[in-house]
Amino acid sequence: MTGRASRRRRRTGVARCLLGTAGALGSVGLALAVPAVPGSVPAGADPVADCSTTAGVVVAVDLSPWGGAVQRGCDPTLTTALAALQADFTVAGTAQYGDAFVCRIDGDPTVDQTSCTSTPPASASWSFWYADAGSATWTYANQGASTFRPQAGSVEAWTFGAGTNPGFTPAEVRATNSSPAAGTAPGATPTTAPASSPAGTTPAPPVVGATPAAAPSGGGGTSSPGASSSPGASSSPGAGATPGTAPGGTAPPSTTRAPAPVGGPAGTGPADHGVPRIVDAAPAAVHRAPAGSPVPLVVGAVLVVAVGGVAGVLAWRRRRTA
Amino acid sequence: MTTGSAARAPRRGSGRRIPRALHPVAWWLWAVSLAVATTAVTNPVLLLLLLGVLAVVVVNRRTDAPWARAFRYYLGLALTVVAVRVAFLAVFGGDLPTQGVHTLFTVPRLPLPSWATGLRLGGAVTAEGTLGALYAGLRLGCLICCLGAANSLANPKRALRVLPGALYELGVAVVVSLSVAPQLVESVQRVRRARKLRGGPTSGFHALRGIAIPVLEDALDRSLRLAAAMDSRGYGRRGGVSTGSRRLTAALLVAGMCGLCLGAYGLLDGSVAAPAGVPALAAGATLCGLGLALGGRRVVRSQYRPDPWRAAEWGVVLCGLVPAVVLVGRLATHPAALAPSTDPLVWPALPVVPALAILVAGLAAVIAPPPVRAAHRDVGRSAPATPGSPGSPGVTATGEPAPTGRRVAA
Repeated sequence: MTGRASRRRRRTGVARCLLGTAGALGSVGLALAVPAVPGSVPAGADPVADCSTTAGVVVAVDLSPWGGAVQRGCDPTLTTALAALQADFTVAGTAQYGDAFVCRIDGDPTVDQTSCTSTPPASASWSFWYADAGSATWTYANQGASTFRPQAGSVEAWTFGAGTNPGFTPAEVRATNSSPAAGTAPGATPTTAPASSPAGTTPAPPVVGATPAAAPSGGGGTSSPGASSSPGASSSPGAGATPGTAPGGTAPPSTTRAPAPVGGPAGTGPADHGVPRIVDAAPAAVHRAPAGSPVPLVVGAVLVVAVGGVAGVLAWRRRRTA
Repeated sequence: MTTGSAARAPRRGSGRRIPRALHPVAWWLWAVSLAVATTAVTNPVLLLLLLGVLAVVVVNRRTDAPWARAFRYYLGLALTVVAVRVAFLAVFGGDLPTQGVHTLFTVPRLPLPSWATGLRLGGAVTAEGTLGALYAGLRLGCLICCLGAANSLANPKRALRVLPGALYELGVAVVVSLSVAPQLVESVQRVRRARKLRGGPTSGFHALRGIAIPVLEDALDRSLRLAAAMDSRGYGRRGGVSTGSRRLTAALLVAGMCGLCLGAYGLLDGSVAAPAGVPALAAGATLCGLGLALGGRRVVRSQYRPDPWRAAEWGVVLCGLVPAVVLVGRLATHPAALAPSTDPLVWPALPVVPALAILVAGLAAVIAPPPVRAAHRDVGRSAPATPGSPGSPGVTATGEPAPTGRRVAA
């Protein structure tokens, strides 16, 4: 959602600490603190609205093992699952296999937990699930993310741990608007669960107990960022659900949990534990590692040739004296 | 004897060293250490450097025995591995061109049914994928060459003499398995030479059938003869050992092996409970050691001219351990330098410390004593078939375990 400017990627430990504390308090102040976190997305960059029930692929990453929320992104271009993931998340592969083996997403697991030099054990690695358009269940992907080709309108989920089923349903993260842009189609309109947000001001309705059945074909999705078309919220970037407004809608008595400030991964205080909330991710900055310099390669080649030359000379002398 | 100027050259000024065969176990430890170091690396510069170092040591310190010429075959095998790996990537690893990758060329793509997911035929061949395949193939090739170097440098039959006494009964099996590669190389050389003498082709597909079948037959024959020779010398006998003692030894060894397997599994797979790791490994090693000690007591054997283990042996082993320790240690701290990323493409670095460590392994070419060389002969053609040339095993005693003992002093 447009206003959900504030999804943050908790990259630094400091930010994580800060946000964690703030989230535990569940205070309004968090919303103010949040924009200060580096990585806040400028309003209007919300990517999820680019996806619809028939276009693009929604990627959901469950950061709950680190006290985070389920971060949701969208890749309108259907290339590979890896590319879709990289569109909104910072992905680090292993030193051994590169990005083909997804080892870290948005800095999780941390460097302390996994070095990512070689393949981490199955119990401590990201698993990749998908649900095609209309499907209410997750399917474990039977091929790698770098070769998997997502279908239009499908959802992908990344969970951490040994084949752990995602703790949320496809319907919870699925795009529900039927046309990509922010201008929401009438049919896909305010599908926010009645209980979750009184005034439609909570762009990220908590996903509380949403069952697959509750949202058959995207129409009844409880959390539908693209569709929570409270006036002004969906169409104009800066308007509507800015962080500032979010807290207002944070404590609907009917929900089991107070929805945290929009997109604040930090909002996951201990109380939230176990029930992931879904927030939108901002497009990850395209970061290609610098290619480095060819000089070491040249020096190395000279060295290799020198050593090879020594071997050649030795072989030649040996043959001569044999 | 002819230490040959090649062997002497690097030791100018220190006087002539007496040629002798380095202890085969020292060569094997050196080569296996290098293989361990190789597993930590996909940096092509370091791998090629390692290959060069292997070549230098092999060229400088191998004997003239037939199996000592094995290195080139291993080198050829390594090249094949690299080529196959890259070719397979082009055929099976192609993909639709996506943004951010460098497409080299596109192979026509064959659509496959959905049950064949993960398998693709044709598609865009990217620089990223090709380089990745090249690096991985190079690493595997390097591993193969490490084994090749050990096989070329160490006398396989003398290596068998250090077989623990407890494995005595397994001796025949171990002999056959350890000597099959050197024997194949030897057979290839003999058959090719015979074909050449008869004027037949020695290369090309046509020659393959003419060479492969005699070689396989020859290798099998020799293995059987070797086993028969060992059998006639008392290998595998059980005389004088009580059944209870044998069973105890066997039980200890099997339990120890199970412990070792469990421990290795626990160490490598992080999902297994911690006790399965180091403790199981230690327990397994202890049991194995006990079994070997117990079994070794009952086997009485004498050794004719045992291979000495002197400073040179220690030096060579150390030369191999240095790169293993350095490279494996640095993999944790500097992974990017040892395993350059291929996606995104980066120029491989030349990390100084690992490169120096690999060069240290090359010191073995100087530290090891010069090899015992055959007398002046037309080595290129006649050495393999020369009866009595040192280290042409199989010619005399049909593979008696230590037929080459007499050549020590030269």
